Amino acid sequence: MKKNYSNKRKKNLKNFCSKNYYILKFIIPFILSFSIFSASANENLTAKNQIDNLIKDLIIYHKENINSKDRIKKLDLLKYVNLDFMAKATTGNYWKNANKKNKVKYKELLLKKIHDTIDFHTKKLNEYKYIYKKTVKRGKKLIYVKGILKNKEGEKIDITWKMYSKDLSILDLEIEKISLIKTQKSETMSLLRKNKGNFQEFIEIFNKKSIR
Amino acid sequence: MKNSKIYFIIIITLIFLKGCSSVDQKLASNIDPYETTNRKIFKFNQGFDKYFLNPASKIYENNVHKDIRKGISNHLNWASTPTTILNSGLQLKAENFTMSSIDFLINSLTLGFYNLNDNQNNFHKLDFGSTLAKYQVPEGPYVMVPILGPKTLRHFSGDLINYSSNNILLSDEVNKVNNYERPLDVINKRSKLTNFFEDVNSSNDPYVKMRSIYIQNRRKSLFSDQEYEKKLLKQEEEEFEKLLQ
Repeated sequence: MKKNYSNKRKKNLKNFCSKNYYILKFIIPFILSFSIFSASANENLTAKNQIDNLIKDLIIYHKENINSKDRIKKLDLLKYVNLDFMAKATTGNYWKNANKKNKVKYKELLLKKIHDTIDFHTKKLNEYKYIYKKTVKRGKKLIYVKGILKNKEGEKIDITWKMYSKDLSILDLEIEKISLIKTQKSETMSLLRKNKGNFQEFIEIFNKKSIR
Repeated sequence: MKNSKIYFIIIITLIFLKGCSSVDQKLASNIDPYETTNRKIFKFNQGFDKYFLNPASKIYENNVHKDIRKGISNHLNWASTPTTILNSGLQLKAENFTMSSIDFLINSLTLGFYNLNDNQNNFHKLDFGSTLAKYQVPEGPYVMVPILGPKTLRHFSGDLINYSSNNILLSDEVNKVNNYERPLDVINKRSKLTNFFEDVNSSNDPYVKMRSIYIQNRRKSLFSDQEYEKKLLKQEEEEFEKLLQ
């Protein structure tokens, strides 16, 4: 009885498919492409929002600290940046030689450096306005959010936020196509090479120079 | 006599570049074989900047009105457009050739002091260094040139060609004007880069930071946006994806 019923269902389905073959031929790819498109659009929108939130935080941070000699509030950068990736990317093959303690210390110093760079540039933030341009998915794991900084005189600076599509953390920032990670990497590698790859000595020098 | 000297320098540089071609491939990761000498020249340049260029650019910034500075900047930009036109022709870039020629002709009405063309960013600035790159002349080593700053050997030879072609193609009067404008161009550019120099000088190793920024910027300037995405970004993405594994 049950077998008959399932056979009947299969037959009905076959009939339906053969009758509506041409409609299905167009509808199925359309539904599939629409769902893929909407999923990617959603991902792009979230990436854009993440950068918008960071810009908002930066503006608040700048306003709160502009008239104060001491920092009122520290910017919570860990919410946005992928520190693990940045540490690996800026130390190249030497990362493998570092022990756990050194890795933690380097990440701490790197975060401080990013913070100092932001402090250095935030004084210019009120002269510029950030304008979002577009979001582009690159490869399987990367999303680039592109925008421009524009001042009152109409000068434009192109910026690209490179993000990890999985957790939308920032991997790199490119200003006028100059990558901050590449620039930091060249500095770090030069110091490491001078110390013949000794991570401990490198950390000590990097620490001294960061305090200066 | 003056021209023959310049030709001699260019020929020597090109021979040296050609000789570097095999070295260039081997040293893909090490672009700076003359680091020790370059560092000494960099120190000299830092001193020159500290005691001469930076004060001069501050005097210029404080005493010349913003709008006049913008006019001067526009004019210097316009005056360099023929180089782009010529190199677009040499590189067979028809669109760039047309757009830069239109921009140059329109702005000739004001000698470039006031920009009449809203679409000025529609063309890509090209110099002789980029033409050499187009015809597969290798990048050559990174050299720090006294006063002029960082260059690759190819970029430097491109500048020499540019200088000598101006002497040959332009009239003496125009060259005289050019000679007056060159120092102004340097001061004008320096005044725009105050923050950049502060940033470089505050780094752990200013020399390495300058080298990295120069090379990234130079490589980027050789390509249009599309070419840049195809050639340089793809390579970088592969590196990023590996690190994310």
